[in-house]
Amino acid sequence: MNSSSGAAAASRDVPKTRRQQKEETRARVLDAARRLFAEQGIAVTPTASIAAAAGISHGALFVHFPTRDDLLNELIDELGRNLAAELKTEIGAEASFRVTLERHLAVLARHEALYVRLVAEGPQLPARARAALSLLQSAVAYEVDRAANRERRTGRLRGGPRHLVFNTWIGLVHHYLLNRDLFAPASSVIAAKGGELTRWFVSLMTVDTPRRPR
Amino acid sequence: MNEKCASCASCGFPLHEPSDFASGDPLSIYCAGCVDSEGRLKSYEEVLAMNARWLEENQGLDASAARRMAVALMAELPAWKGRAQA
Repeated sequence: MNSSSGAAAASRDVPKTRRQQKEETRARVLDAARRLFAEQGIAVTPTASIAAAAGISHGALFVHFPTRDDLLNELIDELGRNLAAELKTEIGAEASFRVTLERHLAVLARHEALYVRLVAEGPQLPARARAALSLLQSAVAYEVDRAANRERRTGRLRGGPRHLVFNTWIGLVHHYLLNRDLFAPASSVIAAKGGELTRWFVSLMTVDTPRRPR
Repeated sequence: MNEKCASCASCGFPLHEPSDFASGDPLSIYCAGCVDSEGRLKSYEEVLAMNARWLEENQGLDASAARRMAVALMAELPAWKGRAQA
């Protein structure tokens, strides 16, 4: 046995503390909820199904999340924290407008299944969940606007109100996400169509350079 | 993926870089926008107005809808939890 497998065996032998067990169970509940919400829909997935998928009793689920809304809120907050961190990290201070859009889509692609459900069920989500989703979109709008402003200074990108630029972009993306069975039934719609959407949106925003007469 | 990205206990804004935190202090639970020049937490109304404006300006939301969302968000945040609803 080498030292690393010995260490692994040793760690298996150490009994877990109650706190570790609790954290692991909580993580299993979140994993199950994330998967079932994405697969079946948020409103129609019963907490009993989530508990069963997590391998715990229905009552035990409420020890970790006193209400169904608490569970949903935690998932949305987690998604928001991850998206915000990834966007901030990946976009960086000097990313181009095109790269900013590409990275936004890359982040959405990694969370695509749950994100589609959140968008589809947005108007029916509890007020707190919907507000958290809206806060997240504002953060993306802000980053897209920062990237657009950098290129406007060079004269390559046309101007426009921040909210309309963002809403045009997110409206396009959401249309493809919500109809992904029509646009890319066998794969991620972002993987299949993201490049095309990005190129088109950048072309809409790019200032036409006058052609020299022949 | 950064699992450790925290969020402001007052407005919910993600806290990532030192400049995001109140007084540039990564140990602070508040963001730079939620404290005054002396590092004191702003009033509920000030933070609510700031949050609603952020939603309104970035997405073009109706002012009353933006305020409603800001109220819903802040009701669950540690700085304001348990406070009577605006």
